[in-house]
Amino acid sequence: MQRLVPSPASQPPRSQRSYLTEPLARAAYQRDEHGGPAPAQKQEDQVREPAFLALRESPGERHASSPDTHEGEAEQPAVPTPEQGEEPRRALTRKLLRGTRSGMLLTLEPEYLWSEVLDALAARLAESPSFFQRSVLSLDTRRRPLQPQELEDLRALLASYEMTFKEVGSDELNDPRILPSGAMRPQSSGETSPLLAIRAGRDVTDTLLTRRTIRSGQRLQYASSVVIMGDVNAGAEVVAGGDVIVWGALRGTVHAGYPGNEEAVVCALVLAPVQLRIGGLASRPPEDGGLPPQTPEVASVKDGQIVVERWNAGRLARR
Amino acid sequence: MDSRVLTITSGKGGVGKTTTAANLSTALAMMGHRVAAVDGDIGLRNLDAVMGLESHIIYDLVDVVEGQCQLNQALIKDKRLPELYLLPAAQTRDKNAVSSLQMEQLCHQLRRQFEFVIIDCPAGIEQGFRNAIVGADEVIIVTNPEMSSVRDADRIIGLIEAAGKPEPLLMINRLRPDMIRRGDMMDVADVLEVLNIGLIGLVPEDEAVIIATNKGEPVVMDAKSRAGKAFTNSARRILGEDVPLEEVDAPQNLLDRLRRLLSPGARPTGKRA
Repeated sequence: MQRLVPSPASQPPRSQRSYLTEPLARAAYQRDEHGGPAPAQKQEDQVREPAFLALRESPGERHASSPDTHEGEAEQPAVPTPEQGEEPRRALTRKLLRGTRSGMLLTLEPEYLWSEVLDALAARLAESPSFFQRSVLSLDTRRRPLQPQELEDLRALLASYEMTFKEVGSDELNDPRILPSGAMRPQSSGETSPLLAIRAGRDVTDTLLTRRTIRSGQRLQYASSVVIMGDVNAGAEVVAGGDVIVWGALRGTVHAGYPGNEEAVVCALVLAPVQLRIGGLASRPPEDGGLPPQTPEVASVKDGQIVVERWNAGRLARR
Repeated sequence: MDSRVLTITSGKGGVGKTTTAANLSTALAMMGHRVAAVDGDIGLRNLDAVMGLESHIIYDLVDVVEGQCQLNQALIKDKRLPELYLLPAAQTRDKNAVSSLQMEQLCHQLRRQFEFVIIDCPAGIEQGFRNAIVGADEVIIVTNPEMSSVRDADRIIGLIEAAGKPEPLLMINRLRPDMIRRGDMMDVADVLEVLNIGLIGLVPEDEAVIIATNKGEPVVMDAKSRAGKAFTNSARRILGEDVPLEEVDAPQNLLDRLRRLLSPGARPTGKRA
């Protein structure tokens, strides 16, 4: 299918400011024992990662990697061998899987590893494959939402049984149209759903949003993307693993895509940083200046250079 | 009595903390309130000289805190005003001579006797600063309309917020309307764009301040001085009076604004993005 691609000649000229870019020597931030960038400031100047990021199955374990989760955790999930899984798996099956009038119901609980749950489900399905063929699996995700990668795992497993699944929530356990928050999609042929799917690798589910101005001498450090409703004053620092959006004036030092993600961008209503870094590149505004920014702008990496352009959502979406 | 402890701080040195502390204390005393001015700058004391009381010092703040004397022995009654007292700092010691706890206890004692306790904070963000704000009910930040001073004031605001004190108020000192008009100096709006806190006073650059300091007579006592009038207005605002803000010749027309926008050095960060 031919896709419509706007031809370069028909585009309006971009007002681009070229920041003086140079590669950043290994960034000076120390690493703490968990492998993430460590604070150099006192605790009260720091922003801690929220508890949501700890919503993994158990300490030290993490589920199958999703591209949008942050780096730094080196442990791999333990894979249970078939023999040792037998008895506990039956118990798990009994606990989480139930038959209801409308089919099987799988209840997700935060204390169980996803890999174990999937394993238990696979085993149960394998016991009576013809019974489950083309049936619908209901998911109770009230106590534990599904991560994008887990959604894929489930879809893959159910595909071999030509099964579909749907999320159900609260008292309308039998009404498939009610979904809990998390906006996960029910998979179904022919049904157009009004909700936008959250796509792994494209959407970030653990962004920090803070409504305050970061003052000189303060440092905000976060492993994923950051939205600041306020200013970042000169002398303040923001270090983020993902994008940095400043709904205000950015006058301090910002490092997006730390340590090595050059797809990250920095946006601000007034983009006037002392220094701007993306991934492994550092840049500073041109010396001769020109007028201070008149419109919201976005800084991104293009061909190894950090460029600053007027904000236009269309350009970003095409990346 | 319902006492208020106000700390005058800035971060940056030389912006006018001591001048402000001396003048606010004097102005409040002139309006009939019982005021203690406390010099928190141990080792580099200046409040005594600015108030003309250096030759009256027998005991100082460190003596009180170490128990060498009673608080009332160290408090010096002002030459001119019966309701104004000074607790001087020590000159031969340094800021580590006093702990935050001791300072807090001192403020507690002073509260019992005075309506207002004005603490002159030293420059910096170390022990001297911490001591000066620990006992404060309110904080006034003094800044000059100039990039490094504003940057330091911003840092101080962050530290004050972190210390759990209420939002500080801003005193912009040494304003020069002629430079502002030319676009060579930050104007009030530029400063507030960065600092974003409430204003308590706008004080113009005034030769009378230097003359007054040398004489040891706070400039609020000079009826003709513009700076003196501004400090008096600030004192009235501290008392709750709604005094309209002083005029500092803001750029009037489009051409002026454009000139300001295009001229170098007038941006809050000092650089042009």
